[in-house]
Amino acid sequence: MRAAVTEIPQDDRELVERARQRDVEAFEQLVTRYRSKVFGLALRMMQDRGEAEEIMQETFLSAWQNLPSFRGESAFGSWLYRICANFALMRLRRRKFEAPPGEEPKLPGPKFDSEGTMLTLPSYDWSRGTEEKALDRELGQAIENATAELPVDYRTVFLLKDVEGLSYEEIAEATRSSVPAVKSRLHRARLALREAIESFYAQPARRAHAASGGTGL
Amino acid sequence: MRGPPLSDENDKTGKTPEWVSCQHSIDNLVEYLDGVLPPEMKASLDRHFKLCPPCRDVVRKYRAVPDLCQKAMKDEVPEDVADRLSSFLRAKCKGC
Repeated sequence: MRAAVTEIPQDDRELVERARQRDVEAFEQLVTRYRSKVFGLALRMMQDRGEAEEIMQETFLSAWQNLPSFRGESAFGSWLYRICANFALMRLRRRKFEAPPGEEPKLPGPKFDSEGTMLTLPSYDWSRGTEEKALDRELGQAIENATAELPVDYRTVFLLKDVEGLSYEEIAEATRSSVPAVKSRLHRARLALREAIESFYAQPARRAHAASGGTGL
Repeated sequence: MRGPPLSDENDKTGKTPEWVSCQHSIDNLVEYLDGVLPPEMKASLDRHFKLCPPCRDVVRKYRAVPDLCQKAMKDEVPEDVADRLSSFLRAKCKGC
């Protein structure tokens, strides 16, 4: 699994340093470089295009205002995603909870009997060759839909860890939780997304398409 | 599979790792795949996954989820959104 980025990429380092010195052109290049990922993160957290755009604007404004105090202890991108997640979570906390506080939401996952023995049998191995092949558009949509269905706390952790590569500690700080809670939510989110991909490939036409070497998996 | 297998395999210390259930194994996947489990626990999960095809199937696919999701989430900001961002920053940031 991809490890979290802990150093500023060389090509970011110079831009960040210049932007810290209030070099506008350098900051604009950083904005261009990161705006798509920041927008994508905000959009998936908020599930609302208008709010995602506002959060993206707030994120870059905050980054400009606080850049002089950015010490480079994390990757610049990670720092941006944390700012973005904070703004998104502030708005989300003002909404109603999806489940009463203290109650764990039920997410899809493997089934076990009373002795802890797996009841789910092996099925078509869609995990082979994922690195080499392009993603099937419909599978991509199925993944987006499944991610949107995750409760917000689980979705946030999954996006920050597995899509944006933040560390457990960075995520715990951004979400005001603990590292064990982050790991638990990440685990359950991954299991739920695995189930969604399993369901996608449970359709015989999907397996036949994949087996025949179609453009997707 | 139900209960410990009939044939036991010893770990490098010559001891047979403790048999753990499917649920216990899957519950510890994050730390197992991060490589941070205590050695004895890792050995137990190694043994379980070697001998349990259903769990091995889950692990294989679980490992693939992050890469697949990253591929699914390649984004481009729409041009109008990018333009509004530039205008916003120019208005709000002195000198932007």
